[in-house]
Amino acid sequence: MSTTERGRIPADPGLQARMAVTMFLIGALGVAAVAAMIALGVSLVFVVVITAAMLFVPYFFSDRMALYGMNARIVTPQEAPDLHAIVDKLCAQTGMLKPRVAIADTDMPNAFATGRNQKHAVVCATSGIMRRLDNDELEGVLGHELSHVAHRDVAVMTFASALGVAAGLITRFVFYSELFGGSFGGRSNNNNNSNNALVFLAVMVVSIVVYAISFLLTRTLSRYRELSADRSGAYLTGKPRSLASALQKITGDMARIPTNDLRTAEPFNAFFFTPAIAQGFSISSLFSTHPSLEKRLAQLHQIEVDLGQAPY
Amino acid sequence: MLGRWRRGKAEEPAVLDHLAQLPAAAPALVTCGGLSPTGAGGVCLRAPDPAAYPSLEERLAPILAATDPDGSARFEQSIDEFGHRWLVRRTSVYDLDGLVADLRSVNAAAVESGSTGALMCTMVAFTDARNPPMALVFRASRGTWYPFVPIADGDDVGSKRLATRDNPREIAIGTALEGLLALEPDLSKWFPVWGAPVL
Repeated sequence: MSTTERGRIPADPGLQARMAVTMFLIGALGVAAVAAMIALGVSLVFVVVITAAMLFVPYFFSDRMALYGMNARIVTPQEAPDLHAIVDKLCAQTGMLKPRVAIADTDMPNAFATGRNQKHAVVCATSGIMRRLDNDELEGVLGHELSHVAHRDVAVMTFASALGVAAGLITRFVFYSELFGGSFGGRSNNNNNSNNALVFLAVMVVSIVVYAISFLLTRTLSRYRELSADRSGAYLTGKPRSLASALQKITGDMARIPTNDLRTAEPFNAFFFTPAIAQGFSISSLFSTHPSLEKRLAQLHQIEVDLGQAPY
Repeated sequence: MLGRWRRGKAEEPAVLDHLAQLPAAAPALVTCGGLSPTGAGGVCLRAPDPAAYPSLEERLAPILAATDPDGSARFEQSIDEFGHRWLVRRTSVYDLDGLVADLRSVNAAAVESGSTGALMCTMVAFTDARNPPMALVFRASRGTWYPFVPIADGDDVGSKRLATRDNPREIAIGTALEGLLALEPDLSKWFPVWGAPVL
């Protein structure tokens, strides 16, 4: 929807600049890390293969991983007419391809979008979020999720985080190969022991540093992408206030109030747990992949003012 | 060990005191959009299995046999879709004290006969005359109250007709009752009781 969107949604130059700088730093870190590894004698093939593998799986299987992780199922328009109607409306407004629509049967209020491109996109809402939100609020949430799809955030974040994951894996490989006296891709054990130990240490240090920096950078990037999706979603639906009230309902204290009946809930409650979500972009998260609620509400309020829906 | 046991025993009447706090706290609900009692309240007892709680039945017998001045039984009895047993009391909207005293007597029968486990919950209904009634729910096992505000059908989204509840209103009611009632601090324990016969 990039062209359509640009016509409709005023850009936020500050946010875009911060995002660009973060992405540049991640790219630069990648180049530096690969260079350092090669200089230290780790085989180029080894680094490339590991990184490619880290990219491949989440990139191609993000949709299936997320649906499986959330125990969600694809629903037809007959099964979920209202949910489909909202997605249809938003897609018609933006000219996006309609993603598949899924429902996860859990009381935890959440929604997420995943898939590497519009063709493979899925938006999923939990039964818990549908119970807690009214139609306008749900539209706000789905606008946020469809913005993730339009921004191709799964692809962006997969590429951004692959480096960090690869660095972590290399650390582990080097550690074990050294532990068991093997070589780590390329370097033979012709060298004398003290030299080997030094290289081993250096590779460990580089990997840990790369992992730490890339972790911070990807989290930062993720928060910018969330703010950006809030923004696009709010302009798209024209209902920033609905998204704001939805966020308060599902990320605040209120989200903890259950909707399953007392008489059925009690005996099973101990066995209920929420599986971690695989790849995908969910509306709420406990981790710092998401900006603080205050920050998101402040941005939405500003959009409300810009749209003339609220006094300053 | 003996001390712990004694303290545990001593707490039981305190649980019933928490139940009895309601009439004093109820006026605060007027500030929540004018909520006042509907006169209905009830106790839900776990799946009726008299054999499991023989002394409870003994204790309940006189309560269930009691009649109002007009000769009708004080408590209506019914079994819900889950097989649990409800004892529902309907009084005048002005007699919250009497209603709570009646509900307390059922709770006391269970607690004093060592059958606290049979008590699912106790509910007292309130209404603002515009929306469907809501309830305050008391759980003897925790000794706490929490609000439950169901929303009527027609506001539902998705595949099935899902019952919903008004969380912001519930939070507001909780805030209004703070300090007046033993409120359940863990929001994840504010379980709904869909289609309760007192509502």
